[in-house]
Amino acid sequence: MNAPLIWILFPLFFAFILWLVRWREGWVMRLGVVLCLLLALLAWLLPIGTGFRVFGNRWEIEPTLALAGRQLVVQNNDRPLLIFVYLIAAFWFGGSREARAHRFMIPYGLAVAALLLAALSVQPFLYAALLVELAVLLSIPLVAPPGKPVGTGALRYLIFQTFAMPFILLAGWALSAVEANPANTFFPLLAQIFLGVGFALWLAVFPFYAWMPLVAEEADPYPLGYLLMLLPTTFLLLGVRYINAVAWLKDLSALWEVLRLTGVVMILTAGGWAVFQRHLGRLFAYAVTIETGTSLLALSLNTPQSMETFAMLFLPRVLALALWALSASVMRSGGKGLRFEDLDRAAETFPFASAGLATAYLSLAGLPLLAGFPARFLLLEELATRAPLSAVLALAGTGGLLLSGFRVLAVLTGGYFGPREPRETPFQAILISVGVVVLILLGFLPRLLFPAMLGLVPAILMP
Amino acid sequence: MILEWLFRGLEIAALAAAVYLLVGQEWRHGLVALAVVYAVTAVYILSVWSPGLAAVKLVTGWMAVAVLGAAQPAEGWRESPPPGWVGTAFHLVAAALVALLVYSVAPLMARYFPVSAPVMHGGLILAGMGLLHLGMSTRPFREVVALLTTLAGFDLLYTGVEQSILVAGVQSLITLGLALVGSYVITAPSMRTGEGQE
Repeated sequence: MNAPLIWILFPLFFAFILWLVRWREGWVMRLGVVLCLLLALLAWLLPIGTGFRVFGNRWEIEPTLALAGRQLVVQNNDRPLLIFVYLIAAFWFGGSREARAHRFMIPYGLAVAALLLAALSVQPFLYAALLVELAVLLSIPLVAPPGKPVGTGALRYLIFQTFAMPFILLAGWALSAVEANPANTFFPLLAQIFLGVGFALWLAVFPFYAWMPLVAEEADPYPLGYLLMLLPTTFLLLGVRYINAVAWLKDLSALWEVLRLTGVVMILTAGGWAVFQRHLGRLFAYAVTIETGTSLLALSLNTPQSMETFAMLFLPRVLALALWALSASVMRSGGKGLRFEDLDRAAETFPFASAGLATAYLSLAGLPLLAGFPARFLLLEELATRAPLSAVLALAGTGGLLLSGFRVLAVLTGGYFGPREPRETPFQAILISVGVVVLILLGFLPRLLFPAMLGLVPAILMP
Repeated sequence: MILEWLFRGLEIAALAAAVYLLVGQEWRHGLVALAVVYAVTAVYILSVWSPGLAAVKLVTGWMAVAVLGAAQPAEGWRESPPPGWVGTAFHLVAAALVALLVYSVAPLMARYFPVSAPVMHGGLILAGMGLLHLGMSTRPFREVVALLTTLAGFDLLYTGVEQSILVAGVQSLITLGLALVGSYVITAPSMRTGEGQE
């Protein structure tokens, strides 16, 4: 048996099968969830690269799969990452029926997850760009659902993400030129520029995040939330792997400064823009941008503690984005638009979805006693001792998001809870309530689940 | 000498096809121009790679054209409102500027980048014109075609750097995938959405 075969190629094949039967939406959802849970369970139970016994027979899962001179390598250290990705997928697919997500969501979503895992495990790592591009192409139906014209946002998303590929591939060429001529000073500079621009396009760093609010305004929130959670997370992990794999890059002090500056600018600009938005989808995009900026800030500190914070940021992000996407989808499928004027006093008819939206948003904004707060607090505390101005600016940007969160709350409630006729199904209410309770619980009891996220650190730090 | 003339001819063909993609309003002719782009690319690649790999590029390129053509993109291709002669003239001037820029920077880039001068010219012409098309187009379908042109140019430049079969295969998959996205752009609005509709 072979790990890339189990956790990458088999899900890809299974995604194709699900695509073939995509009209049976109920079955596709069940099969997708069961497969993702099974893959997560296997990643939890089965060691990779060391033998184990089942019913007296000895088995071993090989970590490497050779493909035309390149390798896909899924090591034992990657298991927490596999569990994390497939649990997220199961979690997201599980809510897809309630969120009225379109029929492409699960087949394409599963294929995108498998391809992004392939990108994280390909050796030499610079070929990840090609696999990411394939994932981006497959993700187009997620951002541009069938039955509607493909909007400007989806096209811009495609263009920006596609442009990242040449830069990353050329960075690979420049890096190999550096290895061949260590004394040359031109190629290291070129490699840094190519890598910088490539990652800026991938991560939708300022000023390349113009497509995010556009696409968030056009697309269905649920599939989009899945994509906006998975893509930046993969790119951040790829970034860490690149930095760890190229020794001279890691020693560049300017790299950490640039990361910090980028993170601060992203948080500050997105927080600033968020204050003026009147569309929930656009706010969602700015919240995602701030999340990416926060992760970049955590990376920029380059300490063991900051890497733990970097890993801890993932869980509240996933939960909050999922809750946000589900709640927004429930409202949208119930006939509500996502513009503020459409959401006026929406809490009267969508009490659970409104509570879900508000809690998710305030958690993303780092409101104390919600899940997003503990990791942010640790990060800002450490940042304040190293770069006080950056900490203040990051706080100001997050403040913008928080301010718009209170505005969302005001719009949803309209200051009045009158007699209401709920338009949410009981199962939708239960799913959203679970999300709200978990986000609050994580805020009150951060030690409940965050230690589990620290298992990701070895996978993140692996070159 | 003959090779030099051949490469000059290829440059002219690439430029002409890319310019037609930029200004043309007839989708069938546009797709023929895109097919010419892939044919030119394959001939360039022949000077660097084995005939087999060049044939792969040609076949996948033409398959991409066929996929785009199958979507019948008449509406998606025509700019709305039509550019008129002033708009066309402006596009042509912009194309001329891009061509000038390509011939200005190509010698400098050839010093560092491991591809021959003709391949550099061809790659930069396609990438540059694709970028220009991307910037000037207002139609989603044309943007996908522009992206395909840009990537064809980049593929050409990248042949000098990487000659792995896997990379060539994945690049071909990306070309086909982009063509499928182009086709999706045209067909998505008329696709059915819900359960049990088929």
